[in-house]
Amino acid sequence: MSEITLEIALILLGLGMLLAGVRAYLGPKITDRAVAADLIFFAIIGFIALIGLRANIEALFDIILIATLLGFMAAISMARLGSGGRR
Amino acid sequence: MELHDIMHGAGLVFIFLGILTIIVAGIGLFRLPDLYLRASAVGTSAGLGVASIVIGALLMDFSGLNLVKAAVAVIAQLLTSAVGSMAIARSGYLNNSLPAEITHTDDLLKTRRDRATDPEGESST
Amino acid sequence: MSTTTSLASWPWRMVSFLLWYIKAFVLANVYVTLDVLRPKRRMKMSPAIIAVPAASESDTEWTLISCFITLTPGTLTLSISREHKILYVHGMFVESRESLVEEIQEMEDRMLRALRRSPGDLSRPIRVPDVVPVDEPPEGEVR
Repeated sequence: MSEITLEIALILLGLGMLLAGVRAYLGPKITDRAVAADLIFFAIIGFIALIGLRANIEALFDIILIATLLGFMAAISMARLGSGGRR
Repeated sequence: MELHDIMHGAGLVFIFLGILTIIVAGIGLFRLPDLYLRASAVGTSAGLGVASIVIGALLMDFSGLNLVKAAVAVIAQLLTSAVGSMAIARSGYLNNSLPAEITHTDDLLKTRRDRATDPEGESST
Repeated sequence: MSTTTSLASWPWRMVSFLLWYIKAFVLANVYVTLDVLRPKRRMKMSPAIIAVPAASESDTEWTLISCFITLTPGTLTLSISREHKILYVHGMFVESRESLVEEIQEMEDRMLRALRRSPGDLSRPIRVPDVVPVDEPPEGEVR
């Protein structure tokens, strides 16, 4: 991957993250924020993949695997926080 | 190394497709009026977005072991994101995030205890 | 499905469900993406929360059907009531109650045929029972 494509990809991902970040800042309720935080997390997986490819990290796919496995913990805990412990 | 170049190009296409999906979901967070529609929009990037970024990364750095890891990662992502968005949507319903006005039918409203006067829902914003 | 020898067609049913689901998944992604990018006046959204009668029996089937519904962008399981055999589904493009019910039930039929060795009973309650709100739902009624 050439330097310029990587930069374009990172900037586009950052744009998506920024949109989600603004929604997380505005979001009237905590659940809106949770949805936005979910999107930010997916953008972070994208960052990990891009930077890992660039830097030739051996364990790139292990990192992605663990990230996908752990990511929904944040969603679940924010959901619990939003409903005040009710299910 | 022609095959290598083809896989490299295909990987780039997949990665940019995934990034595009994430940006569209980000736009959807602003253009859609309520929590459930937003959760649907984020659902596209949770499934297709992350999956195509992982597939793209796999094509650019291909090996047998990576294939297995990427497959497990995609399946894990699909299952956990479904559970996560269900939890968020349910908690939103319990937390009085009422659907927007364009929602024409709401069957769940019938089963719900009236919490419109409950100030607790507002305090956690 | 009654004429086929059920055990021999089981793997085939699983594969056909997976292929059908992948097709539905990609199509739903395209629909949602296009609708987000459409100008506001021409947006086709008509969201609704519909009670869909379901035929699932075991824990596995309930969990999987709600996961599959949520995974398709545009439809979202909000709640289930196993007692009344109802899935509460939030849909993004719902023209009428019947269209969403049909869509979900087709997915469920295919899934149950793929999961069960023999399809068994796929009947659903005809009428949506009125679920009366109770003051404190007993643990495990509404999940």
